[in-house]
Parts: sequence; C-alpha cells; structure tokens
Amino acid sequence: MSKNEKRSVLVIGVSKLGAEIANYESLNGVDIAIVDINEGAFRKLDERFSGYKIIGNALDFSTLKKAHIEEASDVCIVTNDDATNIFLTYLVTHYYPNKKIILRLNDEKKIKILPKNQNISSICPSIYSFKEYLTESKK
Amino acid sequence: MNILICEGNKEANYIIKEFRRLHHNIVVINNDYNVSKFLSEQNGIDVINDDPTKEFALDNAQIYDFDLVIALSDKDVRNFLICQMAKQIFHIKKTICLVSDPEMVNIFVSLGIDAPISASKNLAEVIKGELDLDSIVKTLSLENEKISIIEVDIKSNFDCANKMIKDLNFPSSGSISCIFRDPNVIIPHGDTVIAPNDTLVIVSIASSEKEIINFIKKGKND
Repeated sequence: MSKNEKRSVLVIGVSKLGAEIANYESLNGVDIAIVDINEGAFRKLDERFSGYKIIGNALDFSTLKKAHIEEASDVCIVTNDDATNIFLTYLVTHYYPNKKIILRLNDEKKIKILPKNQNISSICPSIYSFKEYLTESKK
Repeated sequence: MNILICEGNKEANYIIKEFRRLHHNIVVINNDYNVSKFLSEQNGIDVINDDPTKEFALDNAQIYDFDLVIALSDKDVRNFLICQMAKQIFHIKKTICLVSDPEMVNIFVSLGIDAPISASKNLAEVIKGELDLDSIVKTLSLENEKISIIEVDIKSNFDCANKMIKDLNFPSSGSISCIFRDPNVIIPHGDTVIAPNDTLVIVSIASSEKEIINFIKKGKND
C-alpha cells in the first residue's frame, strides 16, 4: 500500500488492547471496524469512537465479510486467546493475502509457528512488560 | 508407530485402547486433571497432565519425529494450534484432529492440517448412505469425499448377474474390490462370475458414484 492511500483497520477482539487500538485509530480519522462475539465488550470503546461495531464470531467468514475484511489494509487480531489469534492469522493470510497483520500472543514461544510472511508481526505483552521493568528498575 | 494423543475424554480412551491393542507406542497429554487420571487408570499407562498447546509440555513428552498427532479438544482452534505446533516444532509427520464445525473441514485442510474430522459431517454421510436409493446400495466417502465405497446387493434381474467381470465392460472410474457371498469373502478376478444375492464392494472416484450404481443396477432388458 502506498503512503498516500487511506488506511483502514479491522480489529478482531474488543480486549483492552483491541479497544485502545480502535479508540486511537478512530480519533485519528482512520476507517475502522471492530468485531467481538460478546456485545458487552464494546462498552470498553470510547464515546467518541466512530467506526463500525460488529457483533459476531470472527471464526465465521460471514462475520469477517460483514466487517468488510476485503477492504481492510490492516487486521489487528487481539482477542485474549492465543489459539484463536493464531488460527485467524493463518486464515487471513491464506484467504485474504497481502494485508498487514498484527496479532497479540500471550505466549511468545508460539511466534515460531506463525506463517512465514513479512506482513505479519506480533505483540507479546510479557516481552513489553519486561522491557518496561528493565527501564523502571534502572531509574 | 509413535502416536501422540492430545485432549479428548471418552473418545481418547477408545482410541488409546485401539492403538495399544495394535501395539503402537502411545503418548497421551491432557490438560484436565480428572480426565488424565481416568485415562491413566483405564489403560494402565502414564498420562501427562499438562497443556498440549504449550511448547514445554510437548517438549517434556519427548515426541520429536513421532508419526502421528491426534488432537481431540472440543475447541477447533485449540486443535489447530496443537497440530501446527506438533508439525512445525516437533516435526510430527501427520496431523489428525476433530473439528466441531463441519464448515471447518475444508478450511483446516487448506491451512495445512492433514486430516480434520467432523463427527457431524461423517454422521450425515453415513445417514445419506443408509438412505440411498432403495436400500440395496450403501455408500461411504473417504479422503474428504474424493473416494466412494459403494456396497450393492445383486438381484437376479440385474444385467451383470451371472456374468464374468471381464465381460461386463465395467466403468474405468471404479473397481470391484471384494464380493461377499455368504459366508465367504471373495477377492474377484476377471473370470469371477457375479451371482444373484452377492454383495459387491466397489471403490470408485466419488464423482462417478451415480454412474457406477446405475451401471450395476441396469436391468437385463434396459
């Protein structure tokens, strides 16, 4: 994607991280859609959030289609479950190639089984927390 | 064969029994303490009570280069993860898993799982086979519906009855693999004569199933 083209982000999972990403991107004027199976999870979104909210199971193609996955340039897969995030990463890579994928992994050891693809990057909370610890402990 | 069995409950127990009877080497990992205890007591084997989606659990189980992993969790994505870890980190040759959502069977295959099995899909296939036509024909699909096994009872008015197989001009997309002539099982050759009341077991390309059934059922005067 060229830098001039408008980004559009699909967030899967209204976890705390998912909500943060959605709120941030929405306030920055990025087209955004966010999916969660649980309607109650959407209350984590900011009042000013102006994207699409889709209630449904992201493991169903019909939900992904409702969330306009074809049009998304980036897909953030950030549910609380590693197995779901890894499966969706495989699914999106295979059926909707050439999208930037950012996934959350609680267990960083699972990075090595992700599809070998330069468009995929992972966020591991434990690694970031440890980096924070190192910074804090040196203060 | 060296086989790793992950998760599952009663179905795991049955599979463990069957494979042990056939003298395979079985390693069992189950995340549920009570189920692990049950499987261990039932089979007189050690069961590793740990999470098979964690690398260290699989590592402890020493399953490198095993022949087969069978993932039996009731969560499809968990089975997917177990199979991918087994394949990519531990180089297990073949991956088989349960899927609860029949739609997932083809998706799992496209994402690299060798044999996803949907109980509901298989059940529907068996029911369809049992209901087929006028109950003289039963069918079963294998390899994700690419291969059909057809079982047909031969009636005396069928054109093929009392003829040698080599004289039938049998469709090339199928083959008569076996004949059940109570109480005997016959492996047929070209000069085997098909007799009324025989049950033919035919293996065919799935897309030719109807053609073969029609060929066998063709009457003498058709």
